[in-house]
Amino acid sequence: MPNNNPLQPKKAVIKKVFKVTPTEKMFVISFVDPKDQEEFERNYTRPARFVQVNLPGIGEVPISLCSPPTQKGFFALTIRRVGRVTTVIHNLNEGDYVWIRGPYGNGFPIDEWKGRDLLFLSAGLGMAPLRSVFLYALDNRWDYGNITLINSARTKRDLLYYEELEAIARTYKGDGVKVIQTVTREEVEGVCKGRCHLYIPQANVDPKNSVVIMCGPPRMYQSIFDEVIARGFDPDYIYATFERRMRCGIGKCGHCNVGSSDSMLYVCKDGPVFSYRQVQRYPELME
Amino acid sequence: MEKRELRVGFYPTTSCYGCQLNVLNIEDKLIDIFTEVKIVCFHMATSASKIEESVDVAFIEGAVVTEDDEELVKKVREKAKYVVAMGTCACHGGVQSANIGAGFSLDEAIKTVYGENFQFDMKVMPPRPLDKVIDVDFYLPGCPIEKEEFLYFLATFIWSTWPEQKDFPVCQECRQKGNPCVVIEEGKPCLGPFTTAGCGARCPSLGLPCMGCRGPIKEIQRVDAMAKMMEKNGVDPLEALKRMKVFGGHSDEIIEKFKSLVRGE
Repeated sequence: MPNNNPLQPKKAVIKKVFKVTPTEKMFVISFVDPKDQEEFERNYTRPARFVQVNLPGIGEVPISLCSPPTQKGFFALTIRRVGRVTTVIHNLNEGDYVWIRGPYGNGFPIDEWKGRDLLFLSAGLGMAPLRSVFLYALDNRWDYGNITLINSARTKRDLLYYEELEAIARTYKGDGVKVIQTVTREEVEGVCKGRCHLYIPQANVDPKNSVVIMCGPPRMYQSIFDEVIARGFDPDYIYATFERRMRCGIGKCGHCNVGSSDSMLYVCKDGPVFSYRQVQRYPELME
Repeated sequence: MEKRELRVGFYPTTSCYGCQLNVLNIEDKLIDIFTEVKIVCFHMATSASKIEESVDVAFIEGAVVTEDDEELVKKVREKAKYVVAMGTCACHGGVQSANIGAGFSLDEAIKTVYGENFQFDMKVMPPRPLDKVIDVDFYLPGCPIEKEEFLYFLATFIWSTWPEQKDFPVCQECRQKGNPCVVIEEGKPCLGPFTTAGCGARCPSLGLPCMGCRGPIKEIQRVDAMAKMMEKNGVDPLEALKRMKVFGGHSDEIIEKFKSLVRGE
């Protein structure tokens, strides 16, 4: 009898562990059963969806996928060590098992963006979900115009994927891809200083025909919304991710819902990616 | 994953030692426990116990009543990485704190129990829960503790993480079991609405009202509502408050409500 339960966790094995920053590790994971892997790839078509990582007896955490849907055979998760479950995940080694269910969430509507320029704005850990979109856009380079990515963090050590992004910037030099990395709390050589919205003027995108994609703490969103709209970006093409404490992932449990009873959004089902128009309708997303 | 040896100690203060006995009663898992962790101190189980040695996790049972108790728990706090208050006595003061805050006098209590002119060879203080003496990291309530919950606590420490504290009342587990409410259907003075969950609603499942043995949940604000509900069901509010005070003697909300009822407000 086929198991069609959407909440059923599937056994997966950790293939490789990378230490990205002092507090974050990237785990490359693939399912033990090839059928589960196939099903996962069939469902993972839009980048920046999330999965629930399950450790029996310890707990479950929602983690954004940081590998693009174009990479087959495995997926990657970047996890910061903050709590009860992530501490255990950080102690896991290559070859250890985790239980995964998903992918859940809507992901970025990349198909609607064809022919447009892309401007990525990321702060802190926001680079993890944006990496999947960025790499997807690079893998489908002919579909999109110029691409600029602004990655910011507190210190240079905390910049996620610093080396990788520098290498991408070198590879795609002269191809309309620009990477700006900036830190806010220290002065270091080689990286810019200040918050990410200061570098929007340096982006090589056409405001009239571009998409703004951002991820970071919701506190930064309002100032960036104001900034990009003042610069003439199209408000219909501004997207941000709003994470909540997603529990079930399929819009049943109600841990992540926003709005009132007559118009309600579940972040796990209708999000975590929301457009600027949705944010205006549901201001509690910003809290 | 890499496993490191977990050093565990069990330390008794003033209590019935039932929680430690319940640990030893986990017979089918005892071999697993003793192979996974190193027991540094457990006077009830081994004579090779050393109070002085440092431990990763210290389970302290009982309320602080004597001067020796206070000295012991302060010493353990210095040596231990995590301190777990084990049992309701350590978490909330237990049964011996039932009369605290309601005109309680230690001399009178001693006179009632031991008679006149009784000589102690130790200094006795009013009973206190552990967190009024030292910093407590985790609370494992229960009178006695639940075996499964203890194993969960130990397993999380072995996995180098920490346990999740329950912050919901017994009512939730009772509803999950599908029991009819003993308050609404039978009018019994059940304390489930503000008792910490974890027991699987044992007493209400058998048709008995909850005694509140796992202690009040954090930040309870339902004392007024509870007293009103009891009154509606024909239970004297003062009796109900006394019932709440059996295991929640140190809860400020209960003490305040009790005082206002005694004064007749």
